[in-house]
Amino acid sequence: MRHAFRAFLILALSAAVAAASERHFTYTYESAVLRPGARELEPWNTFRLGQSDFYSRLDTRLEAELGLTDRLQTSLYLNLKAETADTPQGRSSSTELEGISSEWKMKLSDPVADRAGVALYGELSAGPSEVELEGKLILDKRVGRFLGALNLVAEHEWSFEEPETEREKTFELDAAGCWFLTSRLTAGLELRSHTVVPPQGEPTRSALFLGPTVSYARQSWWVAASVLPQLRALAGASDGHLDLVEHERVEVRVLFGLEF
Amino acid sequence: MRPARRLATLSLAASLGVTAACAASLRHPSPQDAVLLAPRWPGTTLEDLERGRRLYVRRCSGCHNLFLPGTHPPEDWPRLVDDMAAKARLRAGERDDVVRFLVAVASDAGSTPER
Repeated sequence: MRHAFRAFLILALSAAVAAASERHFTYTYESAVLRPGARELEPWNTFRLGQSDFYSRLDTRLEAELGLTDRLQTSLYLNLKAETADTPQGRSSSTELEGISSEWKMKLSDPVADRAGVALYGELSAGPSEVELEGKLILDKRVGRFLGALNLVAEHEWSFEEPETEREKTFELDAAGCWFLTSRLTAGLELRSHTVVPPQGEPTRSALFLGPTVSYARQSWWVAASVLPQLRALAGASDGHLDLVEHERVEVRVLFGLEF
Repeated sequence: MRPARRLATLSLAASLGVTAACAASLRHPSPQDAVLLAPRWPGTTLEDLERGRRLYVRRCSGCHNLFLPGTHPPEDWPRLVDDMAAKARLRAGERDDVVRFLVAVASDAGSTPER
């Protein structure tokens, strides 16, 4: 056990440069893009626990990224959802293919070379029952061993339901900061404010999440994980000070990246 | 407070935090840097050093967060760049420009803040 711990420490503290385009947060994006021609495979897993009554859900996304130019990268996602919930008919479980997504990210400035890193992000998702369009402004800054990032996100969703298509808007603010314990290992905090504006007649629901995040990177792979409990509802509280109708009590996300 | 206003307040606070953190950046080379390098690399121009900075930012940030030149001693930079030149697809002349820029700024890091 002691040898294993020592081996882990040696690995963690070795000072070589970490992986390509590693992420240090799970919700908050950074401005970095892959170098031209580089490819990365990223499985995402998000566990969502504790909505009204019993509820658990696993969202899995499989992402393939490709660096196009020094400033531009694109990705293709496959989105899956496995859900367990209590319904009037009893407890039900389902698994479904939600659809595919196409992501484009353009880096405008660098978080070290410039005053701040800036990138623009656009994502189009399409599935059998819905279409989503998402835009994101990404800001980040690296100062010594500290890395901070901020994202402003707006999303529009069209759900194809009878008798008419429903529209829903989502606004999100993600902010995160981490400290490089070594050149490979980071620890920090991530804040997420998520607001859903449903179709007319239904109340707006908004929740604030805050929790720890860690990441570790090697030359050809990296991993990032976070546990974000809901701190409080900013609007539409349903269970004490929490919103458990639109949001979960806890979100756990694990991202893995592998260069190929 | 309405959700939109709360979100705006949070955004503002977070933006201020990021802005406050935006202190250091990678400085551009100066004519003095070219003079500093003359004994080792005669004929190095300010344009060579600017090209080196541009290449460093564009090619190296695709693989990792950039390091400010002052974080390594000047004599270490040629070896560090050589280790990664192939992955960054730096040709020989481009590698030289990047090394000269990094060595110049790292040599001057003690006297000039990297801003």
